[in-house]
Amino acid sequence: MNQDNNAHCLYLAIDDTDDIGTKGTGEIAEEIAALIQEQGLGRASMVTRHQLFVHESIPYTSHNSAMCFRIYSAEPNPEAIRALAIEHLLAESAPASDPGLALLNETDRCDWSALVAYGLNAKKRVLTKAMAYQLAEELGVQLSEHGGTGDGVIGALAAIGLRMTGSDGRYKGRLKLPAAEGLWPVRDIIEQTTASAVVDLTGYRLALDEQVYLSGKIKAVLLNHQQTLLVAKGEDGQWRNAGRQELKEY
Amino acid sequence: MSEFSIGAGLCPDEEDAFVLQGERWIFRYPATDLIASRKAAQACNGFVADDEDEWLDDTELSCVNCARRRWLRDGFMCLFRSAD
Ligand code: SF4
Repeated sequence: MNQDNNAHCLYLAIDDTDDIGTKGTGEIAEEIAALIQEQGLGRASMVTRHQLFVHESIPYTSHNSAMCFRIYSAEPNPEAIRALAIEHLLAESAPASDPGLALLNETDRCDWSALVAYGLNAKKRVLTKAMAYQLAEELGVQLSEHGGTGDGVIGALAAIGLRMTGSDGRYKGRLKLPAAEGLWPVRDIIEQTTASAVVDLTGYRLALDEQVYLSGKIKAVLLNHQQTLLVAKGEDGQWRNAGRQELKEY
Repeated sequence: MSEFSIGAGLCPDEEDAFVLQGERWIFRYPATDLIASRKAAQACNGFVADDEDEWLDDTELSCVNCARRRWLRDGFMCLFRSAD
């Protein structure tokens, strides 16, 4: 799954760093990704947001989601990456939050199915810190807590498993268009944005010569290991980018 | 056609959009009723915008975009009102 020839791939995820009215966990993840690049520790991917189980016995701020990104490096330095992430988490997490950090080096093993299963479970049921630490130890994932109850380790570990599925989560931020909104051929969307595919809500993959009306906040999801623009047909039969409500399920 | 509504207007002006269940104030309409969600937020002085990536409504002032709403398996409750 490495994107670069000879590059190692690491996954970094964080959870439970925010409180009502404070900087969001996604923003903190983007800042860590930028710092990693600035310090020459690797090339960071875009951040994805993964929805976890919503249940009354799970404490969370306003949404129960965790953030993950990948880091590509020919000579990875996990200790330096981890130290940088911890420093930033300690500086930026909300005082009342329960931050957790997970860091995984994909090249450490080739079977991550237990981690994927854990991530999928975290979308359906209540998991515990003990379960997270036990699995992390078994798989050699570096998992640590940095304040409060440290419950964020549960979601941080899950976010890596979910990102590994290749079909979970939304990309943080918006898809940047090089030109004004309007009618776009799929071919141009793929060539001129970071999206690699255009797919409708049923999974139909649009052909390169089909057209999509792009407007408003254009978001992408992680589907089939690709950054994907989701579309739906309007009442007039025209494809358009999916709205916030349609994206809620991703 | 989206399952979400911006035209149904299920929320009459005089009716509280939240109903008290035990100690929790639960939004009484489907979370898909954006008209009701906006009206409820307009009538509230506790709105705090959530991270924009978590919004469900393009209009900011809407309960479904508020950091004080807490998603339940079915719909959402308001932490601000429940704390009163
Ligand atoms: S969810 Fe937010 S805007 Fe809506 S009633 Fe509660 S505090 Fe007010």
